[in-house]
Amino acid sequence: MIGRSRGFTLTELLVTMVVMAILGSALARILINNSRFVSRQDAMLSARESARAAMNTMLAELRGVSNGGVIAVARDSVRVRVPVAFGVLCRTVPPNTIASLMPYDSAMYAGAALEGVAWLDDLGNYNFVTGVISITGSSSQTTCDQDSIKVIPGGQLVAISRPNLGQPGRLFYLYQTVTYRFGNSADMPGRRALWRRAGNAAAEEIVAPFDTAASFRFLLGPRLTPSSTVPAVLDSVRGLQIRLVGASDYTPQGESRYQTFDMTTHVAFLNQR
Amino acid sequence: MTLRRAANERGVALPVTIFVVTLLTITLAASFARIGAERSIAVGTSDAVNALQVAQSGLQRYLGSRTSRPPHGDSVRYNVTGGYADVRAWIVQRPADTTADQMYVVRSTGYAIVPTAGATPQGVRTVAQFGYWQTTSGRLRRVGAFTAANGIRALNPGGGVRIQGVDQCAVDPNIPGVRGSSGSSLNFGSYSGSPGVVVSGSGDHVADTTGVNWAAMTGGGFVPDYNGMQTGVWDWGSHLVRGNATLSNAWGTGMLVVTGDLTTSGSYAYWYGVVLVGGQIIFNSSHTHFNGIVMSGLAEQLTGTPPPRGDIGGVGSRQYHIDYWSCYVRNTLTRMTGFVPVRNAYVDNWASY
Repeated sequence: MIGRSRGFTLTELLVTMVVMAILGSALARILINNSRFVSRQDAMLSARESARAAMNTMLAELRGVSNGGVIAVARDSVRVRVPVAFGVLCRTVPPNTIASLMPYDSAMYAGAALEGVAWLDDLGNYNFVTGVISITGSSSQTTCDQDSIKVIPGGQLVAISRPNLGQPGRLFYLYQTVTYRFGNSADMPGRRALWRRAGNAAAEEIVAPFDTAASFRFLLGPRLTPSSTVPAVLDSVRGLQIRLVGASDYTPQGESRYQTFDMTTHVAFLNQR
Repeated sequence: MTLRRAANERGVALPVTIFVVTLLTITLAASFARIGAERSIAVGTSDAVNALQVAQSGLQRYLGSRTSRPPHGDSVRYNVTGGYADVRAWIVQRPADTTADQMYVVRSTGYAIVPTAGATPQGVRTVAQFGYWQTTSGRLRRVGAFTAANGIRALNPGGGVRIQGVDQCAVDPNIPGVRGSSGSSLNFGSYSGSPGVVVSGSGDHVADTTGVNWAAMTGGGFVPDYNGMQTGVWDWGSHLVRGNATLSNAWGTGMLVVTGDLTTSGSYAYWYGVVLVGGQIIFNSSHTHFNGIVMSGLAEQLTGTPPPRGDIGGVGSRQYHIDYWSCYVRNTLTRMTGFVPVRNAYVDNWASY
């Protein structure tokens, strides 16, 4: 009798196999779905990080653009003069102009390749003096004293390597040109990246990947009207509408396309009014 | 019959359950960790934005609330929604001419505070704005109750024309009734003051003696209370009209700046305060009363070419009165005393340390 009780009947085995198949299939489906969900969420986070990192990088520089500060624009790129440090002009002591420089972001200043000076006239317009300049410390406080111009705490007295920049008491800023461009990625072949180029230095790939829909539009006129058409008069550009379509590093499991995160932000130039 | 349970027949339910639960736990933990990191990045970005808003809020409150000229290094803390802002103002340029405007730079550091996270700021951001402490009363020179850089000619009959440099408020010294450029002729009408009439110098010379910087005023350096002329309001506000303007059957107060010509028409046209006109004033109203001071032809500062000379009088039944009221002038200029931000001089990369 013991020997006869060891096995299962064919019916029992078949029932067991069917039940196990159903349970296994369900479990596998749950695991696969869960895995795909995690993969998709991970891809979405990756895409969002690209968009957000790009926004944080660009906003700080683009907000300070003044009138006359836009050099070139296209759907996939912008080139602007970015203020690095502000100050007040004193008099010329050939071959330099002495100035009172305000406190500045030292990290930004140290990494900048200064390409010129912009001084503010009575009408609120900036006048640009282009060309590489050098800034050195000065001890000629008496030069600024003649026009009652002070150095405030945290600021410094400097000599700008250009004479006759403007009348004493004029505000100015030192600038570098910066180009932002959506182009082909070097780090991720076949994908698009945001590139930044300061002055004539080599362009740096700062964030990738992006979808091909990432682009610039232009905010025109006092009402900051968005436009896709590149304006003939660059001074009419008073800000940018930046469409940052971040893409995921990889194609999520079970999908054929990269995950994207579409974020559109407006940057109004604060010194172009 | 006895059924025996073999040692190797215990089943795999428990190990399989433990395996699945462990797998799910690891997956979920990884997801939560990733989401947590993402959330902290988002919160950090949000705190930075909040700090910027707090800094800007503090800056605007400071610029808008000063009623007397702040000392060098003035420091104020504002508690605003979402945190607090430390604002400091330094004098950058203090002209030797004590009546001239002083240039300041006002710096505001915003600290974003999240109450549930304690007193430690979650975000810090610093912005700054250059501005002038405007003392218009010092700059605007009262060289006449009616100063006509473009010249003025009184027509016959001049019975209704009366221009007085005698202070009707009886507070300040009397000034000339009319200060006109060479070529002005005032043979008709009534003029009084100290003296009643002064006619000399070119138009641009007369325009320069007013102390008004017309280029700055019309080029964006003057931020008015009203863009356009707001009549019937007794608030001593400032009004900027670009182009020509007409004051007809209406009255107003404060500083009226018209870049083109100003025409008075209708049965009455009254203004109390200061009237600055780039072109000429065309007197057409039955009763034109300017109580304060009036200047015309100021656009000559920009072009060097005087606007057309103005005419006054010519119709005996009409009244053209320009009377110097120092108290109305003072009310107007006092209203304009305060910080005036320098256009396009906002700083977003000020050191935060």
